[in-house]
Amino acid sequence: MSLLSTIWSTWIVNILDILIVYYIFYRLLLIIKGTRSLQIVIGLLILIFITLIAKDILHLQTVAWLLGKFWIGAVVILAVVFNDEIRLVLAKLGARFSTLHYSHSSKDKNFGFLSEISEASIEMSKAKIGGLIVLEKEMGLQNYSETGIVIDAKISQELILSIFNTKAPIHDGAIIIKDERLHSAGCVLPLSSTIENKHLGTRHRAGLGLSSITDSVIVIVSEENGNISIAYEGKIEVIEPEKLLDKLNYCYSKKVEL
Amino acid sequence: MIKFNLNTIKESLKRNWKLKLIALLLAVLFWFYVTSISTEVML
Repeated sequence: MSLLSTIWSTWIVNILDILIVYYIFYRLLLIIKGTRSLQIVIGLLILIFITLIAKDILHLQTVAWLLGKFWIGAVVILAVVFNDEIRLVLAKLGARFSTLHYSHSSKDKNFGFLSEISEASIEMSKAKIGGLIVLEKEMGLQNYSETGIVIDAKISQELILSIFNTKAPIHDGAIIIKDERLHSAGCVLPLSSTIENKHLGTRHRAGLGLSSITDSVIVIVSEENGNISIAYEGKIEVIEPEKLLDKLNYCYSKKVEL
Repeated sequence: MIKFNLNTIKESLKRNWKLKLIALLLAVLFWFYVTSISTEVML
């Protein structure tokens, strides 16, 4: 019995401790991968390394004091620099717990409004009309809805086509779908700042930008080539028109993953 | 019944292996740092 408790306290607890910390670090690295934050993290790691060398190995008192003072204020600096990332992690965590009922009820449910969105997107694709449709899930998009015009109407293919008609005054923004209703149009979305996405157009970068900070599903129709793409969980992929509805159903009913 | 598919495990390990390695290294270093501090405090 004592041997077991010794193994538990010396090995298993420590390995468990390291594995939990590893998982936290891995998730954080996944979030900042490919963004400007990665350079900031590398810079901070170098600074930590310098601090440890100055303090514990070279015993440089003044440098160690200066760096020590910096690390006291660093908490505030980090909170400001990683503002978006901290918000994203906390929002995902909150959404994960608040959507337990949602994920069960949404399973196998037929979302009729998705077929209207799918058909409208295919029509826009054929006519090469640009479009940006955001489907709100659990994370609220109120701050983005406020940048546009509230419509609050039943979703129909015709309504979506009218909004994205190039002569319509609000065609140049995103429409936000909330609670199976067309909530607002002409909304401005945050652009993705990821370095490898610089080649994408503004509409695609906006879709990708929102998908990487919320759990929304975003349908993007290209004005240039008529391609239909879906941005979800920070990734964008071109979808064949005949597979669009299935993909929308899958993404919309999928529960939030941290 | 839960079935462990070796190929699935291999694939999931291969995915983002560099990030996983960095995270593991950081976790081990961090663990050593924290345990050394707590030992110093105890002494």
